[in-house]
Formats: sequence, structure tokens, C-alpha cells
Amino acid sequence: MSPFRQKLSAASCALLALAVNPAEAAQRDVASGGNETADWEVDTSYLSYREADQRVSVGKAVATLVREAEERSITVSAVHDTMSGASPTGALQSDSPASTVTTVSGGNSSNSLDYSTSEFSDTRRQLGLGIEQALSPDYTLSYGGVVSDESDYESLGVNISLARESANRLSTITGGIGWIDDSIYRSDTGGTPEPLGNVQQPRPFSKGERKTLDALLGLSRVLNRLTVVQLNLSLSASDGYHSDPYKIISAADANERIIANFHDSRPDSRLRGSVFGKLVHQLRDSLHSVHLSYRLYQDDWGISSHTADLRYRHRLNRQQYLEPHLRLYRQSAADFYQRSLSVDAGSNPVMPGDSLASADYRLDALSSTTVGLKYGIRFTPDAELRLRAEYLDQRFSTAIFDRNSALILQASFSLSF
Amino acid sequence: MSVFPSCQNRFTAVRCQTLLCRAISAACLLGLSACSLTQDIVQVSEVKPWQRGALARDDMQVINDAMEQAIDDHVYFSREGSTGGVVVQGGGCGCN
Amino acid sequence: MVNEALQVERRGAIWVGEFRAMASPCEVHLELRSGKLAQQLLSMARMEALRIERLFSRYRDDNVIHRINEANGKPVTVDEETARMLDFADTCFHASDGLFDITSGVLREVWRFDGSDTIPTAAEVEPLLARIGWQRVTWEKPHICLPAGMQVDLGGIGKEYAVDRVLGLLRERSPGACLVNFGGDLHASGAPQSAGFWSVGIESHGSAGMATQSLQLQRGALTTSGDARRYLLRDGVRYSHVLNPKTGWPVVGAPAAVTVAGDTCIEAGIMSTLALLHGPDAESFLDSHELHYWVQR
Repeated sequence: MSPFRQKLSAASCALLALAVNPAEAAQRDVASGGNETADWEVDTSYLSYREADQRVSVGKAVATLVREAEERSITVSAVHDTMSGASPTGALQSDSPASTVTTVSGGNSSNSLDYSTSEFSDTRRQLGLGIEQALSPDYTLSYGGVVSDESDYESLGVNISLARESANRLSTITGGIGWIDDSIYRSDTGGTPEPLGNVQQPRPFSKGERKTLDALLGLSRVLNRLTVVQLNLSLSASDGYHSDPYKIISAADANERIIANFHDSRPDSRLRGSVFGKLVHQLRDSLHSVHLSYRLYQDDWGISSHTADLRYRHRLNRQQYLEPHLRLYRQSAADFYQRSLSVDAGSNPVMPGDSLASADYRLDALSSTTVGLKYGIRFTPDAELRLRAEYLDQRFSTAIFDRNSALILQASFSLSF
Repeated sequence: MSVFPSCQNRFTAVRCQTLLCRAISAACLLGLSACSLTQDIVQVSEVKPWQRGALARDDMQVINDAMEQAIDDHVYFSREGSTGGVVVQGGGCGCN
Repeated sequence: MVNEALQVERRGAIWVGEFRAMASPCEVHLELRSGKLAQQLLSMARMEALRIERLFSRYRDDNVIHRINEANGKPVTVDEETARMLDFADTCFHASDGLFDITSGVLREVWRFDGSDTIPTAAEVEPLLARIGWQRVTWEKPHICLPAGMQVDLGGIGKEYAVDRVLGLLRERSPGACLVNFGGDLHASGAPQSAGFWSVGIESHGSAGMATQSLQLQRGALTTSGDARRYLLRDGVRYSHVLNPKTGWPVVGAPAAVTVAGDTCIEAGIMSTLALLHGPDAESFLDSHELHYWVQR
């Protein structure tokens, strides 16, 4: 090195070796400790779901805590649901004055023949843990678990997935599997009734156990600087008790006079598959964006469905946005769905050959429309409030309750620190 | 000097936009081979996929609100016959 | 992003912050996963750049440069950071035999590089020379005394200093590689894992069709000095904006641009500036100091 450069080098060392100055000290508080820096984010939300005619109302409180560090982020979430109402069981309405079958709330079990609705009141608690770990600049491993408990249902789920970002960072491929272990029972008996058993002479069947294996393969890709697309293929196979211990199917004559009521009976396995595509696009020369998604779903119960979802986020300014939402859903009925069982000339119920029958309105051919509006405001870069109102309208093809509507209101607040 | 290995053609120049600025621009361009042989006045017109500015925004994420996604999945799971497809499923419920 | 003055975007594994400071477009690149840490560090980088700009800008009337230049022959006591800058300028002045001189700014009173053909006369330039020359300044740290009529301008090294300084702050706090580029003067702390190097394009100022050169930078600084866009043209003679403080006239035969590699931005910056001042001998000057350089003529 030339003497000139040696002098220069020494002088620059002296210049740059200057100790901490006041402005820097102030900034040190902001980013203290380099890679030790961890960020916390708390997300809280309350949702009210109310169906018309006091059928079902749910209050859902959710809190998630995220600790984001450079190599790993941890998410802990807690959900508390309170549910009550009178849910349609699938049974036809008897001619006698309506009184209901009581379940969880207990006590006034009635001899009345009207089984068409089932009054219930329950709480559900759910705890979840998720960890996202960077294995290398390209690979991210995510894993977690969820436990959920209510008076008639216990669920334990674990999942793991691995995502790989391509070298040019334009595409991400994700593969994941999940395992869910569910226990289903009636809160009053602690077990499940025999499928297609007569409601008035219930015979214990089993403690309903069900195991589910989910697999998902996803690809997301940046198409251009304004557009991202995602394609997911997913399969879910479950084995075990799939009936609903509260659902009932009536056997009735041509005049819908109830001859008998039977417990729900569904296959003991289910294989579901779906293709999900999503497009996220920023409108050119604006801050507004569009989320459009479509899902094609099919299962071996004979249900196939189409779901389209459109959200348009309109940024009012840098702090606020409005987001209208439209969701359209249509499904075909399950093969074993019937509004009611028929009876023969001797008024004996005609039992299905495969012993499968359900009048659960959710297995009927149906269409749902959801319209909603969300408003978000960011008070500071670290605090955001979101308010959402949605209206869900469902039309059923043959189910005894041929229509359902619900109002969903949600308020969420997130804070980073 | 090891600081500069041999030049390769795997780069893109990002052009300084002001007249006063000096002659170097830098960017980490991650192996895209797009060589720009442009005049001073010609801006790079092709949109490069790595110009992901807007895509880093929250509202441009494929799942931009995981909590809302989970809540909606739960609502529709309990009111419709089909479910899944977006993320690996969590726990179920005995929704009436 | 909420802060409009700082644009943050993610390019693959790299977070890039862009803002304006010191009359230049500034970029900071960080290889980080956490967007929040990136946001914090980028905002810190911008604050530091603005702090240094405030400290050494000659366009402000509330900083130490203003106090020194308006002291009218009286001594001024300066803070430690300014003192180190003056020490550095003092070293450069003596080592370059007076070619690098922070008092040469007064020449701007007659030389206006506005793209016109307005060339000052020798009679206009001559009297200014009496107001130029670091050797006339009394610098006894921390006291500086400028003869009345003289001025100091740290603009020639302020931007390079800011680059080194910001990189130093980031290096202490960021677990990943960083690159700071203020208006073409840049300094990288390490190579990004994702690509193995920073791709740096040297922008061509030459004629149409001239290829832009690419470098793969792993660490270290690069600065470019040039007159490609700041010159006067009269009677077919191109007057470079690089003025020789000893003559008061532009350097003849200076390259259009000189890019120099160095360990720090301030060192590379001094060398690229001095190379320009050596005019036709820029290359031999750089060779004599065993520097890596790229010259465009």
C-alpha cells in the first residue's frame, strides 16, 4: 500500500471510530441489541354470529400473541366460544305444539314428539400453538398444534408443513400434513346413539372417535409486480364416527305425518379433495387491491361444491381502507341425504339399503351468499382496528328449514410492540 | 483482490434517476439474467418480476389476515357441507 | 408504508429502503427475514443520513459549517465529530499536496455548472485564489479559525462519511448482510447469503450503446466521481466541474467517470476525486496507488 493510502486509511479509521453520539443513542432504543430484537404482536377479536329467529347465536373471542424474531416466530392463540340457541335437528315438525328436546342445558326433557329443534348452550375453548422456523434462506418449517374442548366434543390436531422459496424468490412451494383426533359424544349421555336407532329407544353406540389426515400441496407465484397467484391441492381422509349425535331423520307418510324419528347415520369414512386458486392483484397506479379466489370441492359422500370469493380493498388514505366482500357458495346434496324416510303401505319406515340416512340441512343441496363490508384504520404504524359486518343468506333445496340467515359482526384490534 | 471476483453477465443495472447523482447504482438482483444496454435517457421499461414493491404490502399477501381466515373457515365449516383447501386444517368442533 | 419519506420494499430475501438525503437518492439493502426489524433499521439509517446532512450541509444556517463560515476571522470551537472530519480533511490536504481542499468551494461564486456556456474570465477567477487554501486556516483541534472571506465545505466527503457511518450502525444491529448506497457511493458489509454477492452496475455515461458494466461485490466500498452531467461547453471545449483549487480552473482531460474500490467509502471517495483532479493522468495516479478502478473517458 502506498504511503499516501496508509495515511488515508489511518485518517479514515480515526474518523469512523468516533464514539456514540446523542442522536445515535436515541436510535439505539429503537433497535436495541441487533438480532436479539424480538417483536410482539397481539391480535384480539370479538365476533358475534346471530341467526334469524334466535336459532343459533355464537359469541367468539379470539386472542393471538405472536413473537416474531429473525429466525423463528411463535404464535399462541386462544379462542373462547359461547354458543346457544335452538338448532334444527333435521326431524320434521310434529303437529303437536312445539316444545323442544333439551340437551346440554339439561332438565326438562319432554315426552313431546317434536324433535325438530334441539336447544343447546355450550362453550368451546381452543388453544393453539404455531412455530415457524427458518431452516435456510430457502426453507421454512412450520408446525403446531391445536386442542379444543366443549361439552360434547374434544379435538386434538397437529400439523407440519415445509415451504421452499425458489432461488429467484418468485415462487413458493408448500407441502403440509395435519393429523386430527376427534371425540364426539352427546353431552347428556356421554356417548353416541346407535345410527338409525329409534330416538325414543336410544341405544348407546360408541364413544365417537374420528381420526383425520389432511394433506396440502400449495404453490404461490409472483406473476408480475402487481399480481400474485396461489394454487392449492388438498386431500383429507377421515375414518371413524362421522354421524351427528344430535341430528334426527323422521320417517313420514305422504302427508308428512311422522311415524318415527331415527338418529342420523353417515358413512364411517370420508375422503375430501379440493382445488383452490387465488389471485391477488393490485390495481394499476393505485393502492387498491383485489383478492379473488375459487374453490372446487368434491368428496366421496357425493357433495361437490363451488366457492367464489371476491374482496376489494379500497384504500381511503394511508391509514384507512374499506373492503367490500362477496362470497358465493353452491353445493350438491350428499348421496344419503333425505328430507325424511318414506313409509310403506303398512306405515313401516323404509330403511335405506346401505343404512345411511341424514336430514342434516348442511348435507342438502344449498347455496349461500355472503355480502360484507370491512373497515380498517391504522392509528399508528403499530395499532390497527378492523370492524366488519357480514350478512349470510342460505337457501336449502329440500330441508325442512329451507332458509337460514345470519348477521356476523366482528371487531378486531392488533397492536405491535 | 478478492473483493471483486470476475464480472459475470448475471445482473441488471438499476439506473440513477437524477441528473446529479453519481454513476453507480446497486441492487441485489438474485440471479436474474437481464442485461440492460440502455442509453442514459432510456429507462428500463420492462417490469421486472423482482420489483416486488407493492407485493410486500400486507394487503397483497395471499393470506392477509390469518385470524379472519380461521374464523371464516370455522363459520362456514359449521354451516356448509364442504371445508378446507386454504390451509392445513386445525381442530374441529361439534358445531350444531 | 406509513412513512412516505421512506419507501420500503422487499425484493426476494432483501429488504430495500429508499429515501432522499443529501440531494441524492439513497438506498439501503438488508438481508433479513423480519420485516419489522428491517423497517426499524431502515428508518434508523434514514435518520442517521439526515443527521449528518444537517450537520455538514452548507445550505443551513443552524449548523457548525455555518458558524465556521460566518465567523469572519474569529475562532470557532467545534464538536468532536466535526473535529474528526476536519482532521481527516487536513490529512487529505497535506497528503494530496493541496489538491484536495475543503476551502475551494468559493470557486462556485464564478463557476456555475448549469449546462450553459457561461465561462468566467481570468479576472473573475484570480481574486478568488486568495480566499482558497487550507494552509491559511488555523486548525488547532477543537478550534478553527478561518481568515475572513474563506469558507469550508465538507460536502465533498459528507456523503461518503454518511455511507460508512450508516453501514457501521447497521452492521452492529443486523444479523444479515447490508449494503448502503447514497447517490452512487456505496459500501457493503458482507455478501448476501441468497445470491452470494451484491450485483452492482456501473452506469455508463458514454455514448449510446455502451454496455453497463457489472460487478459482483462481496464487501467493501465503491465510489464514483465524474463530470458526465455537470460541465460547461463552450467553443467545443468541455469544462469539467472538477476544479483545481490551485488554479481555480477546471481540470483538462479529466475522465468522464472514475470508479474506485476501497475499504471504506471515504477512502475510495478521496481517491476517485483525486483521480479526476489528475486529469489525463488519472489512470497512472490510480495505478501508482495500486487501486482497483474503472475509468470511463
